[in-house]
Amino acid sequence: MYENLINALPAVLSLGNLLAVVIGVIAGICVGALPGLSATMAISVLIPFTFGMDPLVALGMMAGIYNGAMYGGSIPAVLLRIPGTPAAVATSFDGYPMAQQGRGGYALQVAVVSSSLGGIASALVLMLLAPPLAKVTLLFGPSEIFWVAVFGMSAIVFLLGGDVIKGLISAAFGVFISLIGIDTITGYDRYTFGHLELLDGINIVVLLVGLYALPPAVALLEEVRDLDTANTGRLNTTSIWQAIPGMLKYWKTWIRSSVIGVFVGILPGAGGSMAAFLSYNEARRASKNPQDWGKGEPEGVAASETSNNADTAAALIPALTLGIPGTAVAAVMLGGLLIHGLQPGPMLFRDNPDIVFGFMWQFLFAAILLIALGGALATNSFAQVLRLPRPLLGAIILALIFIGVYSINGRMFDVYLMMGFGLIGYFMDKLKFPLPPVVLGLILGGFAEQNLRLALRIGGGDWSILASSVASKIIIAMILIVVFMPLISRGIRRLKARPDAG
Amino acid sequence: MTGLLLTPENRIAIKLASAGWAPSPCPQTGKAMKSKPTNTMTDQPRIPDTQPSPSIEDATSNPGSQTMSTAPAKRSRRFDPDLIAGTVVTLGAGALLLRTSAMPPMTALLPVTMLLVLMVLGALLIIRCLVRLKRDNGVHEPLQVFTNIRRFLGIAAAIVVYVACVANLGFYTSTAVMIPIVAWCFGYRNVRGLLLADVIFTGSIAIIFVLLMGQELPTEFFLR
Amino acid sequence: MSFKSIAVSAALIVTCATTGSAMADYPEKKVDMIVGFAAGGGTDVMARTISPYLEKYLGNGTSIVVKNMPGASGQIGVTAVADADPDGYTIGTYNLPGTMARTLDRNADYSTESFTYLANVVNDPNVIVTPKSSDIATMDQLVEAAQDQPGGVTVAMSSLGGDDHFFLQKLSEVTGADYTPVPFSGSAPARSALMGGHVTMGIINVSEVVNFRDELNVLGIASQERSDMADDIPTFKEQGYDLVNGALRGFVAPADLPEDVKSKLLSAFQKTYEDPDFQAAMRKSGNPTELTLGDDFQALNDEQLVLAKKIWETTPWK
Repeated sequence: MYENLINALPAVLSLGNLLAVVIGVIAGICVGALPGLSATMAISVLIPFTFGMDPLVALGMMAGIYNGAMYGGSIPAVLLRIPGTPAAVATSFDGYPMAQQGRGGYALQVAVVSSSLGGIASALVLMLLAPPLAKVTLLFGPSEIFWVAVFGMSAIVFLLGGDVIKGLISAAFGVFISLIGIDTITGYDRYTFGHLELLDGINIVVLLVGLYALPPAVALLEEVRDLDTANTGRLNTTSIWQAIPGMLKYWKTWIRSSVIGVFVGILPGAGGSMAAFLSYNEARRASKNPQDWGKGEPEGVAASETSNNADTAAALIPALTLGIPGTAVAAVMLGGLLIHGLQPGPMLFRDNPDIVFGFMWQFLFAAILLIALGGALATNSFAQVLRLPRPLLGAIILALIFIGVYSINGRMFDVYLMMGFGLIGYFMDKLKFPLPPVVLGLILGGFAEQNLRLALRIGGGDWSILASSVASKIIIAMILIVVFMPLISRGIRRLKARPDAG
Repeated sequence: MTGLLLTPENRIAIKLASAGWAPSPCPQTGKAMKSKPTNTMTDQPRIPDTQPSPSIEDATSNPGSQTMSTAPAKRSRRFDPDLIAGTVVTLGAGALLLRTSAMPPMTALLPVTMLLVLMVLGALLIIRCLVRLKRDNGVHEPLQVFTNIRRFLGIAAAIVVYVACVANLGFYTSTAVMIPIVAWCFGYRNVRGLLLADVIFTGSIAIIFVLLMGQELPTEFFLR
Repeated sequence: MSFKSIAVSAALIVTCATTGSAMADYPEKKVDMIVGFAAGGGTDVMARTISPYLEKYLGNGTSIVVKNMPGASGQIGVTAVADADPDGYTIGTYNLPGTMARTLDRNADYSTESFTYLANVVNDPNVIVTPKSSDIATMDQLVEAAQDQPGGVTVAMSSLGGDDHFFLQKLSEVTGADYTPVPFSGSAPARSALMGGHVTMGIINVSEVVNFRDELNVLGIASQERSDMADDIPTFKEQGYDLVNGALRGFVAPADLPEDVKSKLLSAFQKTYEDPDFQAAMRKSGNPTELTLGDDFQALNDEQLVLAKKIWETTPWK
């Protein structure tokens, strides 16, 4: 197999294919940076174009777009508190405070380096470990996936912010929203009020744009005075190569987040945003100063950005080997492959090794290119956007939001829905209800419930099925350890301190 | 977008601010005549905003009115934002709860749980707010939600009108018109800058979406 | 004759001539093809594969633009086709039994009368599969296991009320056993659970199985004859179980399409089907083809509705 890898390399290095990757990365960064436009949409739009193209050119562009978009989303997340893609929500937790403190440029540099490293890790894993990891995918049935979702939900504790009641209301609201739509197990529709468009549930991009993008756009228009944009506008950047040595202390976070990202990528149904949340949470738990997180801790940006790029290539592991895409984007990419007559499965590797392994190389190059293209692109171009007068910026963002939401499904209903969420988000901001629990509730609530009920259906109503397999037991143990460890260690510390005090 | 008319007062303001960005909000004299008498914010058109930002915890005013006078504590008790939020949450969750009747038990389990949780939390919020108000006895200043309600309503109206126009008149027309108008109304007065930005933005979107992507945005009314 | 009658007849002749010539020139502008599913899915791939051939055989340098209108398992797209103008410039994809089943379990804004049935192009029969790790490798073993323990056999399906669910109902009837349906939200999670051995068996379509013969036991295929995509799979009929069912995908237009437009479209579909390049392309993208044209398609649709009604009345899935 490794010789196949090497044999595929020359084709990838040809001018046309390399150019495709470069264009893909640039396009991906731009698309990711525009709130409302997501990688899924960009690749869906690309697919018809690729009909006549050489497969590697098409795949190269897709790989580039995917990686680029996962980084691009962090740019407005840091600069405007508007995540460009759902996966960048966790980046805004620490990225935006950093920008407010005048360290926006550094935040973006951390983001680009982390994204690149995450993407590289993902591509390497795809190239070298695809077959064994595909088996790991299969180990995860509904009950195991349920426990992983529960694990993710435990992140809510950290995201509640200062006010527990309001935080819990946000979380419950998010979970409730995730339940709107048709119940796939019984066929009943929940709270759709007769609207066909709600049957598939509320799309996370619609919710995210409404909650996260519309209120800041309104704020840009609302603010009376020309706020001191000097801080956020001036990015204060040194060359990225000089900045990297300062980031090396985040290596543990990089490794941990890459692992989490890859793992979430290979699980079908879980995507970039879940990876980012989980890894942010874990990094915070493991850090020495968790109370600084949320106020401008660069490691938070590193954690989030690494894992949302780490799940890109990993999502293709089960996709290429088993035809089971790990994320929505991977699903669209599979469709793109199908159009070229490349059906997933073991025969894909046998009959078209150059294309498959070439694709993997392209992921690697796209990730590496991120530093070169993303660093310069972000700090120079997008930062200029902030120099625009705020009312103009607000008006432009309104138009962009419209485009992004309308383009998801090509209908106005989503736009109206987004406006409704925008109103809710505006008031939530003003009334100090935290927004992250809503997003977490939306991503994980319905997902967890569905898997729980599937597991119960398989077990015939017997709840013990949830703990029956080895994988389930391991995850449950991890949850217990991770949740109770702080309490235990605090208890132990108190015990140790008592003899001194007494 | 009512109230944003070119009244004589506006024209003077425009002349004065013709050099570029005007720090003052869009003259709201038109709207002032239509606004509700009591609880709305009074506008501060000519006084430059001395506060660093429209801060939420404004120590000198409370949500009932933005005047500098101290409002009676009774009003703040009734309109404390937390109180309203708690009420909205509880009532909203309750209303939705009434709709779960038609579903089979397993389907309804999680929604009902979440709604009950919301109702309980909403009630807790109300209780906590009341307790705090009683304890502080009017000394505690609740959150100020709206620094300038007229401006917010203007923005909200602008957004609604814009979306309606896009749906009925087409995307490019509405956007080409919206960007200069909205930017103008909310502070940016440089006409040349406006037009330039408008053309660049609408033009690039048109190029990208129509030529390159073939992705459709709501079609113009003259093309239907 | 009076001036008036001359004028009227002249007007009538002119109108007929112009409308006649307009119709004769169909297609004059681009044709929208509405796909009720997201880009990259099976129906979308089929639509995009067939478009260039349809363009060629419709002639007049026309172009077919694929528009995705995903949502509600294709219902939004199909409703849009039903509501469109019957001028031949809007056609759409059509899935059976799903589209008809939706008229039963939801309030659909369309019915069998809302469409002009053009052609059904794909017939993807169901197959029963078990993971390689399972003990059950033949139909007889499966039926035995199912009859032993009512509800003990768990069946992974990609959705509720789709072709796989219908097949399960038929299976239940024919084998006289109770199965436990486990409806996932899509074929990807269903296959993942199936291949991982979390469920006893799965019902999928033959196109999904051809590449994974090493990972799955295929117990049989629900078609009249063996499939040429995988001719080593015995049909259920051969094994003594009368089970024929599958996912059907085709194209429709709004009802009351003018006759000449309809016949142009039908002949384009016929020629496309006979084009060997088209057949090769469909093969490569994993779509088993079988053409059912025009009125035959309408009859097929009515059959499917009857079947759906029967199942809905005895064992409704909702």
